[in-house]
Amino acid sequence: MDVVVQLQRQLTDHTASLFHEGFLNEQFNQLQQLQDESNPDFVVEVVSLFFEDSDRLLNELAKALEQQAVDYKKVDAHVHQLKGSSSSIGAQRVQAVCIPFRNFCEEQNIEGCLKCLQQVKHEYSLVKNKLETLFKLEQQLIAAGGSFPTL
Amino acid sequence: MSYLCRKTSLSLVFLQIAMDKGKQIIINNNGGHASRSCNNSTMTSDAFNNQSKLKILLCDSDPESCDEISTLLTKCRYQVISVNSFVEVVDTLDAEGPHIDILLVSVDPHIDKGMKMLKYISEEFQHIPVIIILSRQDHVSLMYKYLNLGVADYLMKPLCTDELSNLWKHKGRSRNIIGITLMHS
Repeated sequence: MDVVVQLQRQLTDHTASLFHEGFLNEQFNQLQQLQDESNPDFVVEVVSLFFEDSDRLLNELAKALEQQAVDYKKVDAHVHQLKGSSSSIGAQRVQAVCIPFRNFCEEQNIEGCLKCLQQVKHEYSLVKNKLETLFKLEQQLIAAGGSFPTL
Repeated sequence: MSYLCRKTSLSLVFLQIAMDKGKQIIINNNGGHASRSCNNSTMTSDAFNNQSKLKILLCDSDPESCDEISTLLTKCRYQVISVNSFVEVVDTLDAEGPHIDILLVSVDPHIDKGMKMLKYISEEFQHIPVIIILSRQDHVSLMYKYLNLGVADYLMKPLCTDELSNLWKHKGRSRNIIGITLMHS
């Protein structure tokens, strides 16, 4: 019983900090609205897909910005996708970097783009880590016989 | 041409739409609302479940436009049968009438023949909501002609997935509601 209580507290604290520090916003809570009997793992699935797609997009971005003649349309298209997916799962700090990133694409400003790429990679790896911890805690809690409240 | 929808998970669709749109998907848990603005994408698991079961018969005499709309419909996870003429519409309805949920027709109000065909279709296949697609703003004022035939609603070109993703709501609605309201206003 104690283990369950402890895990529950850890989970609550961790989740709270994610919101408090701005890594996630209300949208992440909204994702849970789409989770039901017919889609029991919706949140985990969407976030996992987000990780897969973002890893790919960040790779593509790095490649595209390394070219001699940078195709800014292509870069912008990737950032467009990243902005959509990050904002739709509530990863607001990642989304926030995408905005100036797109502006730099329009201006065809290579330095600005490279800087944004660094920032977005940084924010992404932070939120990815935190979400992975979150899901691990949830799993541990369920394994210990507890359940987590939807916030 | 028949496009069967693939079985995909809600999470996959959700993320695909998010990346497509490049913006946040607003999640609305009370069934969403019919809207012509394309500023938000609303998504509910109800809508998703309903969408993938819907079979839409699309008629557009312009093959390019027909292809475009068909693609959008398929993106919305509908099953689409597309044809280019009213004759084919009737043929398809004769063959698959009970299975068609919605008829989506691109029209020009200045072509009378279209009106006659629509009237026939409306009368013969009363269970199928008919939604017309207008290509010009000035055709909207001629909507009353279509409403008198029992047409349920209209959409304006260029179409976007937002409006199309709400099509499933027309299923099961009774006819002539809009027509009656207009006539009495």
